[in-house]
Order: sequence, then C-alpha cells, then structure tokens
Amino acid sequence: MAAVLTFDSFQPGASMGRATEVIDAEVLDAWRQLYPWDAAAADALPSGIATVLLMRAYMRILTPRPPGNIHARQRLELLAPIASGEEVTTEIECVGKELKRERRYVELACRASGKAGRPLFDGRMTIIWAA
Amino acid sequence: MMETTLDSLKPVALTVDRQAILAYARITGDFNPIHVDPEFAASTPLGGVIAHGTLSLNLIWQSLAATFGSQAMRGAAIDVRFAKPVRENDRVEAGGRRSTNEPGRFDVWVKNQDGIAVIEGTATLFVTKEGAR
Repeated sequence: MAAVLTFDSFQPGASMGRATEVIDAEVLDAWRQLYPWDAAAADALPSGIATVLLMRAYMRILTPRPPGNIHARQRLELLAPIASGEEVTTEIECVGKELKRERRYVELACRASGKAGRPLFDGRMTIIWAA
Repeated sequence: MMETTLDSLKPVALTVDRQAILAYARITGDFNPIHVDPEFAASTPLGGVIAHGTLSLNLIWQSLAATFGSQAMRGAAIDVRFAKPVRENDRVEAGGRRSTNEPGRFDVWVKNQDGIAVIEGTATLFVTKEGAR
C-alpha cells in the first residue's frame, strides 16, 4: 500500500500525474438531481462539470491523502465547452507549498484537454494539507 | 429576490442538506471524512461536518449561466476563496455584481442564510466591444 501523501512529499515543479475519464450518465444524472435548474447547450455539459472533472482527477491522482484536507482557494478558466461523452485528461502539477500560521498550504495547477488534445480548462487550487 | 440585470447576476440557491452532501461526494468521488463522517468531523478544529466547497462554488457558474446563457461560459474564469465553511442544512445563495474596476469582471459570492459570505472572489467573462456579455 502506498504511503500517505504528506506535505513533505510535495515538490514544487513536479507533475503529480494525470487522469482520464468520461463523465458517465450516472454522474450526470446525479448532477441534474442536485442542480435541476442547471441547463447547458444541447451538445455540451454544464460548466460546473469542469469542477467535477478537476476534483475527480485530484481524488485519483493525489492518493492516498491524509484525512481532513481543506480546499481553501480555487481558480478555474473554461477554455472550451466539454462535449457530452468527451474523454477528458486532466494533469495536476504541484506549483508551490508554504507553511503559514502553522497551516500547510499546497498550490496545485491543473490543465485539462479533450478530444485531439483540445484545451478544455486550466485552474489552480490551494489546499490546506492536513499532515 | 434580487432583480436580475446585466449588472447583477441572477441568484441561484440551494439547501445543503445531508442528502446533497452525500450526492456531491458520489459525483466527485470526494469522501473526505470532514464531509461525510460526523464523528471524525466533530473531532477536528471545524467541530463538525462541512460541505464540499465546490458544491457551493458550482452555484456561481450556474448564476453566471442563468444570467448570460451557457454560451457565454466559453472563456469565463472564476477566482474564489472559500471564506467560511458551509454547514449541513445551510441555505446558500450565489450572486454577484459587475465590478467597476475592469470590463467583464464581476464580484461574486455565495452567502449563507445569515448573509455571511462563504465564498467570495471574482468572475470574468469574455469581453466584447460592448462589454461583458
């Protein structure tokens, strides 16, 4: 079993990995039940699905995590609509870490691409790492 | 309810109950015990379960799309801080107003039932000659 990712594990400038997936009908149905008012263009997924893809990639790539991490800040730019059924690859890179007021801040950059490598979204997330 | 104009975003609200938190955990695959395990969450400095920050952040995207249409989301960007935790059964509402500082920029937020901002930051939309769409 892999060792838990701790604050000391992070190396700024290092790729943490990439994850590829398609938002399936089950996830999309659950989204529509939670946010029934959220409609997108006919052939595209709702904008917020980019956040879901980012979080799912984070869950798969940065594992195992210590319990109790806290999401402190999020930047996200939508570069193109994500098509229904599109395979999306998200890469996450550590771009910084800082100990501040006894809290461990980890800065992650993400970049997602879709069919034929077309850019879909870029983002930055700041996580207060638990251990 | 706030009147919607191009200078203010159409508000979008959600009650973040247990069912919503668990549904969002399944959607994202994020079963961090601070969200889904009341006993663990009670043992942390936060003192209890908090909802996933992005569960509420999504309301900002939805507020933008409801105001300007989903086509306007291409090139849109959000930069937010999760300022306060969202607790189970909180009622949160996303909204925003046009910033005076920069064309196409909006100050955005999600506030809880007490009017406290739990998320705050900015959103930027694609800018045309006429300004943000």
